[in-house]
Amino acid sequence: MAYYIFKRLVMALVVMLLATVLLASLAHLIPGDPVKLMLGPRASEEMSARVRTEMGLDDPIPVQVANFVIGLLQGDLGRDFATRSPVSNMISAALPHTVALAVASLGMAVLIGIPLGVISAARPSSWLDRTLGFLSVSLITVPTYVSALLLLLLFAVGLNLISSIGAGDFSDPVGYGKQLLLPATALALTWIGYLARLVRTSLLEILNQNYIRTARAYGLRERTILFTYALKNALIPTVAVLGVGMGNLLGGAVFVEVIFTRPGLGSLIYRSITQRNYPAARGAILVAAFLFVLANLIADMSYRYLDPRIRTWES
Amino acid sequence: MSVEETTMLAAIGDESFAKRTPVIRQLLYRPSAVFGLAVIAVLVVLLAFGPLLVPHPHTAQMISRRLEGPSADHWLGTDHLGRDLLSRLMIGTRVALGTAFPSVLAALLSGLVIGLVAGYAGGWLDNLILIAMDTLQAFPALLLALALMALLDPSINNVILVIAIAYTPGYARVVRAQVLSVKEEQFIEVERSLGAGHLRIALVHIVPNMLPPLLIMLAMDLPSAIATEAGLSFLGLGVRPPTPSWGTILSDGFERIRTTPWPVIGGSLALMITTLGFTLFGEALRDILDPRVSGSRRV
Amino acid sequence: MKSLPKLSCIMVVVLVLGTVLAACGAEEPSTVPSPTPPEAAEIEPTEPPEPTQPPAPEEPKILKLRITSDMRDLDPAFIPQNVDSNISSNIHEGLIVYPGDLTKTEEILLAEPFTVSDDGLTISFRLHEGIQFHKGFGELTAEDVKYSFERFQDPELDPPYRDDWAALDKVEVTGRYTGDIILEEPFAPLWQSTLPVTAGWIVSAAAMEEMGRDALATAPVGTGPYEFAEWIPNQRVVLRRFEDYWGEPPEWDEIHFLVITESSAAEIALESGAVDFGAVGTDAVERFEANPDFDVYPVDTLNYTWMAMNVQHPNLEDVNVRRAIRAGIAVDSLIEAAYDGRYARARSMMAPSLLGAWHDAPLYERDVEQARAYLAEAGLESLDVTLTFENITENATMAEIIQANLAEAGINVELIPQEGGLFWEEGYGAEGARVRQLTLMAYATNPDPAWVTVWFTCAQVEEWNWMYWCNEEYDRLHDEGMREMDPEARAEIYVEMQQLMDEAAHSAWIAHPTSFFVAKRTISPVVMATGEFIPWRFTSK
Repeated sequence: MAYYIFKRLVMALVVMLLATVLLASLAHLIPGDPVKLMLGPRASEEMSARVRTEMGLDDPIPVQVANFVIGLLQGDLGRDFATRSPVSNMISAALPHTVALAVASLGMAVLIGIPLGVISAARPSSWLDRTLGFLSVSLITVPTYVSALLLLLLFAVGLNLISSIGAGDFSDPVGYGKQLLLPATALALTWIGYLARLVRTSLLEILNQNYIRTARAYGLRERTILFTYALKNALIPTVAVLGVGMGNLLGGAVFVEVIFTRPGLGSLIYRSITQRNYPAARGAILVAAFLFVLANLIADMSYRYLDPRIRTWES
Repeated sequence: MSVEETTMLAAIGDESFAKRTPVIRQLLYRPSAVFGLAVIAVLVVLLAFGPLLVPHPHTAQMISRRLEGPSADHWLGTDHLGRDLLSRLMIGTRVALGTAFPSVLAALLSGLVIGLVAGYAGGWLDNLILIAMDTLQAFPALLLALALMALLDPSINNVILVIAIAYTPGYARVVRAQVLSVKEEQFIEVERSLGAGHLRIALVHIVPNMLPPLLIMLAMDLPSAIATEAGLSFLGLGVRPPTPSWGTILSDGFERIRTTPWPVIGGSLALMITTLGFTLFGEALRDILDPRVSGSRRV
Repeated sequence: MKSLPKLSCIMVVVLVLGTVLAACGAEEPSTVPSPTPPEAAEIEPTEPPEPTQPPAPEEPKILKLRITSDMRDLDPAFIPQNVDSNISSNIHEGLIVYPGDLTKTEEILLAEPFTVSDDGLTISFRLHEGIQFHKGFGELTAEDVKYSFERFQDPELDPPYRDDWAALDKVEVTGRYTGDIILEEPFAPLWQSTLPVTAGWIVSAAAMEEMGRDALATAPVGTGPYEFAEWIPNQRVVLRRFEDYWGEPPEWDEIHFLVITESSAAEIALESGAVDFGAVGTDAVERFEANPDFDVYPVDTLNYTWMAMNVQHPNLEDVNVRRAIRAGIAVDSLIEAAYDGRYARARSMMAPSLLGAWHDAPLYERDVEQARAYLAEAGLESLDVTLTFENITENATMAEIIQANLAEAGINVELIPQEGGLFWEEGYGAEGARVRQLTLMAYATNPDPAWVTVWFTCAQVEEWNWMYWCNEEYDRLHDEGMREMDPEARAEIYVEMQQLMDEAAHSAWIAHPTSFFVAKRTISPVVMATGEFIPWRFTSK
């Protein structure tokens, strides 16, 4: 197990490093002269040339990439082209809003998706199970931006119930929570469907296993079996998918943050890409990738730690 | 294979039925698969004959009648240039399917080649390819597509390219795993001892064996590819404005969501029905061909 | 069987991690902690406070304004866009200022009016004594004026707005508070579009010395009624009332500029009370006019939008082809569809209220037959051209109509939407002259005709003249206009220049945009014909 953890950690680090190099070299291929963008329409050629030198844009691309990686190790993500302020400032201003969004939607998915899965598994093949099954597939297939647009249309425009713009301020938790409700729901819907299916499947699988049959044979009540024995083990696979879930949440966050105009990591990525502001785009995508790799790592580790079958198999 | 096949088919319920019935007939016994097939059939008809079926030419503008609601003349109303929304959604099928099919197919083919090379060669080449795939997969698929689209001009071909790149690692992994498991099987050993070349073994024995799982993957990836194309177009990083993509229709609608809800509703319905249809069909296909694989990878 | 506690344990760890991350990140960008919870921001819409019963002192008055993009550079010599000048104008002051109306100016920092020498080349000033800079950078002196104006000529700094002070020889300091602005030649735009705008704002020489331009660009120091407090990138900029301000203390304790890019989002923000004031899209005007809680302030700007045709491109070098295109498009439907018919159609690049506007300029109506005839005159039956535009909603709408319009005249248009950075870079100079054909353009201007004509001179073919058109007579007139001090004679010069442009048929003029600002009924805003607004002059009713 210790060897496995070590190997997995080393792999994650190597992948992060390679991803950084890939992204840093990609960014230099973006068309558009970043200096002109930074200085505004009326800047002179001489001044553009000077800034180009100042920012090291005249160096060969491998040197620029190496400089970026070295800077990154010191926590420096470069300076934004538009404002010349550190990219790390922009990211630290944006990240909390995306973390709040991701935590809220994962929370929603767990609180709604798991009970739906249990209800389905409790009466397999009943009409309720079939209805929930269809509902789950539908939720899984609806693209996040469609959910977001329809929620916006229904609750903010149609019913005028919720002001759905911006993120609000952390110093006002109640207001912030209200602002979070619609975006988090839009992002959670897919995962509600996904968790409901996953829990149903693994629950049914476990209910068919020997120890449950034994428990039944001993005359334990079905409810006790379901909640005391089966559910605990059925939840383990959900931990494994949380890693993948993080990636999807980060992707979906781009749409949700753009549609609900939240100043998070996703909208930062979108804005920097459309404005060809490549230091900002590079930094923000990199942070998203790191979060994704980290989430996968944690999910993988916890899954192995939690699942007794894998543990015995590993040792 | 036969033992696995039995367990596989047992999940469907009626073993003997499954054994002697062709896949298409089995599909027709599942309501969800029938729904999926119907949706796909309609989409294919629109793809082929769309321009003949539309109630209005999809580019005909009528500025004085822009942003109207549904009427007998325009069933879903008109867009911001007074063009018929229904006609544009119908023509939009061409972009949706015309992007999703080639891109997923390209991902499958390149994944097949990469996976075969990795699994078959083994050693350092295998490790190199694995790390490269890991690196690509370190980025959430949509963010990778976004980053690549930033480098390219928005056009259908570039969207196809970008989606293909984002989806390739998934196929390469599956193919590699399959090659590894098949490679050591007895009949391959026998062939090799009989002097068969690597390419022959790969093409005759390994590839046909892995086609069913790859087909399932392809069916499950189609709806996500459709959603990705529309998503990129929604963000203005997909196809160019005059081409009616469901994503650009949604984005035009989003800009005017307080004025008229119809473009958002129409575009959403088109996307929801299409992705649901493809997914239901893909799942039915999976249940029939290989019930062990569960859940779709991308959501 | 012990897996559930472990599971919940891990979930708790993840949640805690998330919260810690959120908490850490939230504090980093704040340079100055905001002392007030947002609820305190609500301005009571009813019953203005009685003079005998002042409002509770702990309730700060906050003015919340929408800005359409994040700030980029607040240094007066570098201001890249209206957003930055809207913020910076509260922090910096010039010797003179527009009182909210571009036709007149008022002297503010001066103890007595300017004295101008007979040849108009020496302008003497005397500053008020005791005016303080923000953040303890001391008293405003004539040295600061000298520094602020002469830096435009500094080849090391080379600011983009150097031409605003093109005629400046030097500023001579004659005493602690007095000095002379000395010009090399007469300079007509000085009083209208140099001294009262960003180029005339005074910065602190001491602060520049100590902090450097880069630091001041995003945390400037001036003498204005508000000092810079905080900037959270892409979210908000906060200004706080400057307690040692020399003039009348302004109304608001704090001004918050909230970044809201999308018009639809801004409209919701207004309706929900998240902002008090901001520009809205043309499609929302009717809704806000009908809403009793809001006032709509339409401002006809001097800005101009048009479709530029590259006269150097082989496809467009024949004047008849350009005439065909000009005759082929329906400008009124462009304005109808893109701006809900709410913008005034442009006859030339000069808005009617600008000195020198050509009021009798021809308005071209769509005539497909005429367009085909022009095309035939050029020896063509059909033509393939490209139309490049910055990818925003209104442009995309217009481009699609132009495409459909010209198709009927036998001209096939390929649309090339580009994001801001690429759009501005590709069209610039020689590269643009090579690749661009038709381009949708929008320029803003200060209220002087020279600020409009300057972009279409021969020298600008290398920069921002995106018709890539060079006419020596036009250039000569432009120089003459800068030196001519008599308004009527000036006006004639500019009309002649517009006629030259009309003959060349290199532009299809579209509109002079109207900015629609919406304010809560309880607020009286001050907006200008440049499309800028002046927050520190806002008052509550």
